[in-house]
This record gives sequence, structure tokens and C-alpha cells, in this order.
Amino acid sequence: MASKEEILANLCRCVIEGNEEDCRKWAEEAVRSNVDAYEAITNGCSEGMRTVGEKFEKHEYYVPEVLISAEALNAAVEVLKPHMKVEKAAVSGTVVLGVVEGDVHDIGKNLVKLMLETAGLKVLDLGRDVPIDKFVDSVKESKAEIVGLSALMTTTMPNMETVVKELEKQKLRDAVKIIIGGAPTTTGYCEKIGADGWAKDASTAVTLSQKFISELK
Amino acid sequence: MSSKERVEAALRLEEPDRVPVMSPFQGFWALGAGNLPVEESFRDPVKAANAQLNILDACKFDGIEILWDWLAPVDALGCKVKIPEKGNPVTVERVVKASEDIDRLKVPDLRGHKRTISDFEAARILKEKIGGSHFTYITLALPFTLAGELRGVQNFMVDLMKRPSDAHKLIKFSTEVLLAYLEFSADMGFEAIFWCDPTASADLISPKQFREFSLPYIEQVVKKTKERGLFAFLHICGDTTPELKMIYEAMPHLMSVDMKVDLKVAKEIIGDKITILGNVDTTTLFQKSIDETSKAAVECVRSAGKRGFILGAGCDIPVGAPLENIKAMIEAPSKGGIFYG
Repeated sequence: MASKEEILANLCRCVIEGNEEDCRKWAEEAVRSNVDAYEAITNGCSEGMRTVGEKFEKHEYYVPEVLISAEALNAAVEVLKPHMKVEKAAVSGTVVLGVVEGDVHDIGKNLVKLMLETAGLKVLDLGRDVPIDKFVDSVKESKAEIVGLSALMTTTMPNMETVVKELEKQKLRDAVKIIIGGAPTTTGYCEKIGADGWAKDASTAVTLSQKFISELK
Repeated sequence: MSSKERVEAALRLEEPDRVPVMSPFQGFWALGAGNLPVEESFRDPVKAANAQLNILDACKFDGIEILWDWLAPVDALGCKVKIPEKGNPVTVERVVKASEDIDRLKVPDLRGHKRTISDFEAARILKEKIGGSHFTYITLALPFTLAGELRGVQNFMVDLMKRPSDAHKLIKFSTEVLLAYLEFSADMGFEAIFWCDPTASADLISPKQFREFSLPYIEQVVKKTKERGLFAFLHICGDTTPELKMIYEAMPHLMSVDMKVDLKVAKEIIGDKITILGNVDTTTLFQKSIDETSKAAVECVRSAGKRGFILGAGCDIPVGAPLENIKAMIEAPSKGGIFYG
């Protein structure tokens, strides 16, 4: 049997290398060796994903590398999840996330989702081309602290403003913080439409979410 | 100097009477400004051409895009696409869901594809009307980007790492399709093709991946374009500074750079042999004031210099960008005396 330290280090390494097959094997090894599943995910896989995020910021990694790391991470989580003791998987907050109506570009949104989950946040992923009402309903039902809106086109960007307005109309605006992101967006646009934060990249989305959640508490 | 001569001088790396202005991609913006639904522009070449001519009345570009439906090949290959009222069409269903689907792909008969025929007819009308006085060009996707549309960009990015031979096979097929478009364009007598590779953006893939998966196919396409006697232009999104040196290997006539690239640096790296086009920030064009737009355009000329340089937006002119801002960009080089003083 491998030691806990060895297992965690290998899970971390396999995620960084994007080695799906070995990542799954080490997750199985964790189960066999009675390593706590939650710990294997947070101190093994998520640790690796954090490094991936850093490498992406430093232009050592690009989108293809991040995506295969995510596949490796998912493979391990799939093995470990059934063994997780539920009460330990407490989340620090909930984010409703989606690409606004008319826009189907979702790579950026998917990276954000990955990073948020890695940071221990619950993400309600509404997908792409999401109608305004769906954002509003989802906020109502989930009591999420954060709404993350993504748009990749100047033509769909105005739908972010519509979501903000609709949340105001439904008296939900004060209950949530709104973060926007995507290629055509800017901090100026964020202010203009009355959103709370502009995420220039996936890791900023995480920092902003964590900051807003601690403020709301 | 006519607008056309001005652009041609810049393409010979000379200094024209003033810096020429090319959009470089005004097609969808012009449709939006003229309230012509995109879908209609793909089937009514006369209306499509008129929407562009109306814009040219107000905005005196020296060179203009006469075919903007650069993703028509995606439709011709049978992907399900969504055509919005305004802006670029989006691919919603991919034809390559698994490796074996690549082998089933066939180069479509372009002369039997209605949307392509209509696009080419609009381009023919535009060239006939303004091609004597203005430099005209058509826009098409490059093989890497087309492959991404056929496979889905996210899957395609994973393929680069996990199934590189599949990725190459698909890009190679995409090259064949685009070379068929080149043949058609050459037969139509078009002057230049603006080949675009937004998915090979420096924000998405590494310089190493660019060299392996995008550059070899760019080289092929550029070489064939030149062989057929057309000008070959390139546009790649993102901060392509690390990739610029490699562009030498493809040797297009013109390289259009995104706003993230420093024009001065681009000129230093490849400007001695390749004309540079760029790169007024599209967000400025979309949201900022006329004055700020003017300043941004003047700044571009200042850093690129007047020789072998064409002024334009850093990417697509955003749909909805105010006409006055586009005019401000176009007029910036003529106001030389005031601004450069």
C-alpha cells in the first residue's frame, strides 16, 4: 500500500500533467489505502489544478493543457466521489454561472466553472445561450451569493445588462453579487451596467467570488 | 492617389501620400448599421452589397471587405448553424463527433451551395462597383479555425494533446475545402483573400502548438493563394508577438495584428518584408468617444510609421459601434498636420 503522502503527491502530479489514466489509478489507490476521499480531492487533485491555474496565468499552459488537466481531475473525482463523507464536502458559497442569451462560446465559462469548483464553491452551470429568466429563476431557487455572466460577442454583451436589470426588477439585486467576464467586456462596461465585478480571467473570477462571499457573510 | 493605389503602395512597403485605412472586417458591422438581417444578406446579394455601399458613402475606407461570410464553409460542410439577426453566425452542431467521422467528410461542391453562391455574387457586385477605385478583398477562415468549428473548439483543443494525428487529419481536410474556396475566388477574379485564424489565437494555444497545428497549413494556403495571383493577407487573434517571427515562413503580403500587439514591435520583427495592418482597439471603437477613437488611431500610426502600414481595427469592427467613431478612425491619417505637428 502506498502512503498517503505518496498518493496525494501523485494525484497532484497527474492532474498537472493531464494524465487521465494514471490519475484514475492513483484515485483507486487512494480508495484501497483508505485515504480520505475528500482529502484526496482537496489536497491532491485540487492542489494540482491550482498549479495548472498558475501555469495558465504565466503562459506556461494554454487552453489545451488546462482542458486535459481538467479531464484527469474529473477522472479522479469520479472514482473518489462515492467514497466521500457528505458532511465534509461543505461549500463556502454558490455561484450561478452561464453564457448569456445568443452566445454559444463557452470555453471561458467552462474554465471559470472548473476553477470555482476547485476552490470549493458550488457552481450551478446553466450552460450557454441562457435566457434571462433562467438566471433569475436560478438565483431565486438556489439563494446563490454570486451570479457569473459570460459573453464573447459585442452583440450579446448587452444581454448582461438585461440580466442585471431583471434582477433589480425582481428585487433580487441586493441578495447577489454580479461578476461579468469574456473577451469584449471591460471594467468600464461592468460599471456602466451596474455589475459588481469584472473578471479579466478565470482566476480573477475565483478571487472576486471569494471576496464577495466573505463580504456577504 | 486613389484609395486602391494607396493600399497597393503600402503593400509594396512604400509610403503612400497618407496612411491607407482598411476596416479590416466591416461586413457584419455594416449589415447591422443598415439593419439588414444577416440571414437575408446570405441569400440576397443585391441587398447585401447595397448595405456595404451605403456604409462606404459615409466611411471612406481605402480597402473594404466584399465577402464577410467567412464561416460559409462550415454551413457547406453540413454543420447546423445559428444565424443571428446581427453579427457572426455560430456553429451549434458539429459534424465531427468522433474520430471515424473525419474519414467520412467530403469536399463540398461549392457551386451547389446556395449561401456560398450568394456570398460570391454580392462580392462580385461590390468589386464591379468599387473595385476600380478601392482595394477589395474577401475574408475566409484558415484551416485550423475551420477544423475547430467542425469538431467543436473545446474537443478540438483536447484532440491537439490526446489525438494529434486526428487533429492533423481534420486540419488537412479543412485545408482542401479552403483551397476549393480559393479556386472559386480566383475564377471569380477577386484580388485578395484575408485568411483568418481566430481559433489559433495566442490566447488559446501556445507558440509550439501554433507551429505544429496552424503554421504548416497557413503556409500551404498562402503559397496557393499567391500561385493563383491573389494577395494573401493573414489575421490571427490575441497577442501574437511570440508567433510573429514564424509568419516569415508563410510570407503573406500582409499581417493584421490584434490590439494586444505593439505595432512598433510588429514592425521591427516582420515589417521589413510584410505590410502590417492594425490595430485600433475594438472596445474603443465600440464604447469610447470620438476624440478617444481619434487619439487611438493616431497613436497606431505614430507607433507603426507610415511606410508599409495600413490602419484598421484590431479585429472585427464590433456590431453596433457608432458610425462617428469609425469615421474618426478613417479620418485620423488625413488629419496628419493637426495631430502629428
